[in-house]
Order: sequence, then structure tokens, then C-alpha cells
Amino acid sequence: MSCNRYLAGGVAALITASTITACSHEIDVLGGKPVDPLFRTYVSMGNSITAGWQSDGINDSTQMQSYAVLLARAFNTSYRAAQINKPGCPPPLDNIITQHRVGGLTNQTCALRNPTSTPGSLNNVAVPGATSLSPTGTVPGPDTLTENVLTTLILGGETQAQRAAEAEPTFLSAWIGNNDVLNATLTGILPRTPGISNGVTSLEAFTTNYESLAQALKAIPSLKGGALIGVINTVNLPLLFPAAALYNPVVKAGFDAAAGTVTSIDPTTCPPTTTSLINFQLAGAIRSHTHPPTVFCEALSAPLQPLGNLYVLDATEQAAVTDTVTAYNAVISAEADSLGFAFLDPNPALVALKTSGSVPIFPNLTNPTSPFGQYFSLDGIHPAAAAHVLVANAVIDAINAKYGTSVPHTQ
Amino acid sequence: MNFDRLSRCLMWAALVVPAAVEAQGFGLNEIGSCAVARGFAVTSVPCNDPSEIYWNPASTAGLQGLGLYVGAAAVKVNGGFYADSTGRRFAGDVPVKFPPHIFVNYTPRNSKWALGIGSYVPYGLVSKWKSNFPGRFESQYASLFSDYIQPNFAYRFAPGWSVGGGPVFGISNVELRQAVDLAVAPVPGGGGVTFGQLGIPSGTEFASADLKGSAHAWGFNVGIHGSVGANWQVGARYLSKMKFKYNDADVSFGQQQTNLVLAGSNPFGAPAGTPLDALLTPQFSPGATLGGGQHVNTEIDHPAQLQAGVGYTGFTNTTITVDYAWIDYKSFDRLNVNFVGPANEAGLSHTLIEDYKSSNAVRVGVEHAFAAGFRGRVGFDWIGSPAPDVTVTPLLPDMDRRNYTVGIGLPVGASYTLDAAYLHVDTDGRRGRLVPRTTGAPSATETADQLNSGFYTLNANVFSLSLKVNF
Repeated sequence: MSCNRYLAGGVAALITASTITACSHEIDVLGGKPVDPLFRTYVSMGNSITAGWQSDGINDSTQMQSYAVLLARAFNTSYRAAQINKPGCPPPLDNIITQHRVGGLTNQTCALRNPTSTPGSLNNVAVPGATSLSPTGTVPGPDTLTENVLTTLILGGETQAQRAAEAEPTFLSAWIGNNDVLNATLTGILPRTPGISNGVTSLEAFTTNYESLAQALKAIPSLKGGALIGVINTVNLPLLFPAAALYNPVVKAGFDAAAGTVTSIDPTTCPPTTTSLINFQLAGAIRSHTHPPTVFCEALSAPLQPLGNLYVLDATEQAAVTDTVTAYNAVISAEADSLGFAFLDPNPALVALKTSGSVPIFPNLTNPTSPFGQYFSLDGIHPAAAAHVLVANAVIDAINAKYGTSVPHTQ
Repeated sequence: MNFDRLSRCLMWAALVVPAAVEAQGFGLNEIGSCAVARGFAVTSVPCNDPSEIYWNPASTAGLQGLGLYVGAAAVKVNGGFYADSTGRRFAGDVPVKFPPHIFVNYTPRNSKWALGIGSYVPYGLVSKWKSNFPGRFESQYASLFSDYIQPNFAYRFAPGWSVGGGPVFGISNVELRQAVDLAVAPVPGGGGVTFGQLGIPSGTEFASADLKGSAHAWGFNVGIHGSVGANWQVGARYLSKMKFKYNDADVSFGQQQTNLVLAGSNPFGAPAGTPLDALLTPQFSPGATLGGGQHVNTEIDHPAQLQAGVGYTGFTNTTITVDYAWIDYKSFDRLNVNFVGPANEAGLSHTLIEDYKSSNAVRVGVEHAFAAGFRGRVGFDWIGSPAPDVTVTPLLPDMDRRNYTVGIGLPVGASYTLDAAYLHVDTDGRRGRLVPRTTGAPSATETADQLNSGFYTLNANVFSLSLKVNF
């Protein structure tokens, strides 16, 4: 095997698409004496939310806004993350209309990791794209579908569980499982469909994966406590809006503006009473001419499939996703009990934000730098800084209730 | 392939220099059991044995006849490191060492002059950490043994006053074993991108480096000694700086398995499941950057020492001495490490930043001659560290120290005296770093707060035994 063949080729490909910036020199080790010995060493596992992904990108600024970082600060414990150089990998969006990204670069840009000069374990081992299989799955393994360049940039050839164990944590949080339903929810196609949808992880597989995770955590002798966070009910993500809203002229005008054309609403599948949800990304598909300029709200028959299915979640699919997430969270809650961990179901808070109007039903395109409100980033999926604060404080409440600690809320 | 920062792995000189510097800075000076017991405050009122050749070359004029002084010390250093990130303690694994000393002196009776020769180890240290120590990339094992051989001539130029000195020939051997961090190594053909930028965590050991070298140098040691009135004595000595040039020191590398397996869509462009170690193996081939048979050159200045003291002998059977010692560590500010072979062609040669400052110490000793014929001795030293806050390293995390000493001199027959001493080195601990500082690297401009990632503890126990023979 030739070293240069792979190493140089791979790196050259990255560099071609990258802007390598100087090291930020940002201190990535926080804290001093923890607020409680329980938090002497804290490790966070998870996916893009925990890693600090926002607005379809990640860099050392978005990483620092992660609820996990906020938790570490609240714990007043040392915390090290694999910081991604600015502008990012890829750089986050800063305008949803123009799709402009930080630094004016593309979603193929990767500015690589800022390597700390100090040997030490990683405290944030979360990787964007990770599923319930990822933390303990063989690298590479069946999870290859969701592996990406960040898998290596953050974990460097080991699994989340391995990196977590190396840190010898006394406390650990895990928020994993959202990606087991997210891609299917966004595509509107729940069965696994190669090239289109990753599908929904079966409850049996999900349970097996979480049991593996629990076993891995039980094998960490230093671990004294932790918190597991439930899966988000992805049908409530702000990127999905009610199809019926398109009968609102303002909403329709906004959607057409995003699609770059005047779209039509199929009256047969989209009556005003429809309960289907539309992924706002449909507008982008129409703009790029990969979807006709017509909105269908129910799956069409062959040969028109997947029209009406792609980017659309009908009532049946919504119920299926909701039931699956509910079942997932029952598994997670049970595993938390078996581990003696705290458990947090994030869904009531998300529903409360939508109910209160803090999360708009349809993206506010007149505010292209904050179309989903202050709690969600520009991709309409991932929490913004304000939501990370809510999550951190909710986790803190759960931890204090479980362990009788007095971790202060973060600001 | 440019393994520029990889060369940090090879900074044996960085490891050696502090060894040399801090060995003296560490200030054991376990040369003669009497001197150890008296807290090394012996330039003014000497120990009345041939070890004066080192402690004050002039005072040997006051000895009588042919004398031999031979012995060794057992040095046990205990150290540890508390990592900020985990609070975990990493204990040192330093073996016990036995630096020897031997002196012979001849002072004809009723003569003004003396001749002698001595062999002693003013600079020497071993540091060793276990294989899981995160600072093993700076040093896992380091050994410095610098033996000084000094002929000596002393002359009494006035009643109670003498001068002395002689050339010093030094033989120095160094050895270093350290881990090599893949994270700081540039990716071959990667335009300067390091493995760390592609996700390899710092502290990923993929190679070990073993380095051995030797050198010799010349210097001198001189002194002056005198009496002021009936009850006071004064003395001073100066040991010159000696420049050791370690040319063609041997360097060998061995590959260590990282057991990392690349995930899909990895930035190396390798297929999913590729063992990273397989990609690195070619770097250890003959002629490659980490191939065998390579050498390195460097220079290490063993610093000059100046010590002066005053002693009072007016109390019956009791001597009190106070010394001040100054060590010229300031000359250790930079160190060039020049490789010979592929490592140099790959840009491994580099300059290490030490930024040492001069060190000061105050030494106090008391000796009492008991009626039973034996002598009891106690001493105390305070030694300021020459290492700045940014240069507290795994090799020897130097820090301000307090020495507590006690000992006894026991006559055995008419011609023999057995000296025994115990020295305990006590410290308060000090924050330190695990990573090297080199010119041109970000670490060169980083502060101690940025560099230091934990807390070092250090203490030592020394047992010294010497036999004095008067022929």
C-alpha cells in the first residue's frame, strides 16, 4: 500500500476545496475545580447537535455554542473539543436566500481541524451524522452510510465509545438517535431507499444499538453518572411546514420566491384541509429543476413516484415517525434507568417553542439571517445558540433532580 | 517528506539540556558524604577530606599527608504529574542511581602545596516515566552522566591563605527514549497539513525514538581559601562552563502501532477500513525519514558554578557555615539540533527554546564533634529554580527546592573514617507543560498559562556513603 497514494491524494483533494486558516489559538480547555466531584471529567457523545453543527455547517464558533460546552462551563470542568478551523467544514450558511456561507465558500470546503499542541483526551466526541449505531459501531461498519469527513477529523480512527473511555469520564451525556429518523423525515421516504433515504432505523436495531452503548458505558470504570437525552420528534422541526399554509398568500409568495418560480398546488392531493408537512427544501429542489414546480401533498402512483412522497410527510408518515420516536425514547429512558443516569425528553420543550410562536410555522424569508427565529439556525434543523442554552438548562435540571447536585443554570 | 514538527520527537537535546541544566539546578551535588550532610556549605570550612578538590581546590593545602576519599550516593527521585484534563496522576518511574566519587590528595607535611586528582559527577540525572504518561513525547526516559576528572594543585601563599585549581576533563554520556506523536507530523505530500489537522489526536504514538550520544570537554575549577582571625574562615570556588559537543549521536526509530482504522469518507482518501499503520510503515524504511542509521549533532553547555562561603569555628567543637551558590544557567536560552541524513533533509533540524535564567542558592551547615569521637552534621539549602514557568518539562520539572540534610562521621581505627549522609529534597510542586517549545512554532510565543497543562510534584531522597583513608 502506498502512503503517498492515499495520503497525498486525499489531502490534496481537501486542500483544493479548502481555505486553510491559521490556528485560532482559542483555548479549548475550560474550567478548574468542578462544582461537584461528579463532574471532574465530563464527556459528551452525540451527533451534530452535540458537536455544535449549525446552519448546515460547523466551525470553532458554532462548536463553542453547543449545549455540551455550556454544560462543561456550568460544571466548571476542563473540556476539550476537536475544534474545526474557520470558515468551517463546511462553513455554515449565513443567508438562507442566497445560500451564502461564511467566508463566501462552498459546502465542499473543509478548513480542517485546529490541532491542539497539548496531548490530552477529547471531551466532546460527538460527530455530525452519527446514528445510534455510531458510538460503538466498528469503524468502518454498517454505519458507513453516515460516516463523513468529520468522523475522522473528530475521532481520528476510533469510535465515540473508545474516545470517551480514553478521557476517563466521571460524567457523560449522550444525545444520539436523531439521525435514525431525521433523513427519512426530511426526504419524506421512511423505508431505506439507496441514494434517496437512509430510512428509519428499526426499533429492534435501535434497541440493540443502545444496549451496546450502555454496555460500553458500563465498561468505563471511572464513570459515576450521566444523562441521556431522548430523540427529537423530527416532524416538529421548523424546516417542515404545514402544506395547508401554502393557501396563505404570504406563505405562498415566500415559497415561490425561494423556489424561484410561481409554483402550483395540486388541488387533488393538497386540499386546504391537508395535514401533510412539506420540507422547505422542496423549494430548493424546484429552483434547481430537480422537482417540477408543483406541490403534491400525497404520494402519487407510478410512474409519477416519488412525487408527492419526496419532501412530503403525510399524516400516516407523521404518525409513524412520532410512534417510532416515542418508542425510541422509551428505550433510551429504560437504558438511563439501567445506567442510573438522568433522562431528558426534549420534545415538550420543542413543542412549547412552536406553540408559543417562538418557532415560526413557515420560515420568515424577510429575515434571511434568522428565518426560523432565534432558537433554530439557518438550516431549520439544528438548534441555534439560544436553544442550546435551553437544552443545557433542561439537562442541568434533570441532572440536579437525579443526583441532588446544585449545578447552576447557564446563561 | 517533511516531518518538520515530527522532529520534536527528536529533541533529545531538549531533553538533554534540561537534564544537564536541571541536574545541577536540581542541586543534588552528591559529591562526598560529609559535604552532603553539611548542606553543601563547605567552601569556607572544608570537610577535611580530599573531596575539597571539587568543593574548594585551594583548601587541599590544609590537608595532611596522603588521603583517599571514595564513595557513592544512592539517588531516588520521586515525581508525578497531575493532568488538568482528568485530574489523573501519572507517577514517575525513576530508577535509583548511584553516582560515584573518588578523590586522592597528597599534601606533604609542613608543606605549602598539595597535589591531587578527583573524579566526580556534578551533572547527572535520570528521569523516567511510564508508557502511558502523556508527556512521553517530550521524554519517557532520559539519562545524563557527566563525569569530571580534575587534577588539582593548591598552594598556601600566606599564613592561612591558599589558592588552588586545576583543569577539568569532562566525559558526558546521554541517552533518551521518547514517543513520537503522529498528530504533529505533516502528511506526506499534504502541503504542510499535519495529521492532527486531519483528526489524529495529539498524543497518538506511532513511533519511538532512541538516541544515544557522548562527548567530552575541557574546563577548569579554581578556588581560594583563607582564615580571618582565629574563628572565621572564608572560601570561594569557580567551576568553569564546559561545552560538550555531541557529534554523530545515534538515532534509531521503531514503529509503534496506533491501531487506528480509517472511517469512510476520510480525508486521507483511503478506502474505509484502511489501517492507518499500513500507510505509515514506508516512513521507517531504510533511507526514509524515520529509517535507521541516522545521527544528530548538538552542543550542550554545562554551566559555570560559583560558590562562596563563610564559616565560624568559635564555638567549642562546633562549626557553622553559610554559602551562597550561583549557577550560570542563563546561557541556556536556545539549543540547535542538527540532524544528519534523511531527517535533516526532511527539515527535522530545529532550535529549542529553553530561556533559562541564572540560579541562586543559599546553603547552611553545622557540624559538631562529639566527645565520643564521631561528628554529627546537619544542613539546609534553599535553591531557586533556573527554569522559567514556560520550561517546566517532563524531563525534570524543575522548581524551587529545600534540602534537609543530616549525617555522621564515624572514625574507624586510626586511618579510616566512614561518612554517611541523608538528604531529602522537598518542593511545593509547580505547574508545567508536556509539549516542547521550538522557534517558529506557535508554542514559541505562548505563555505559561497556555503551555502548562498540569501540576508536577517532585522530591528526592539521597543516601550517601563515603570512606576516608589517611595513609
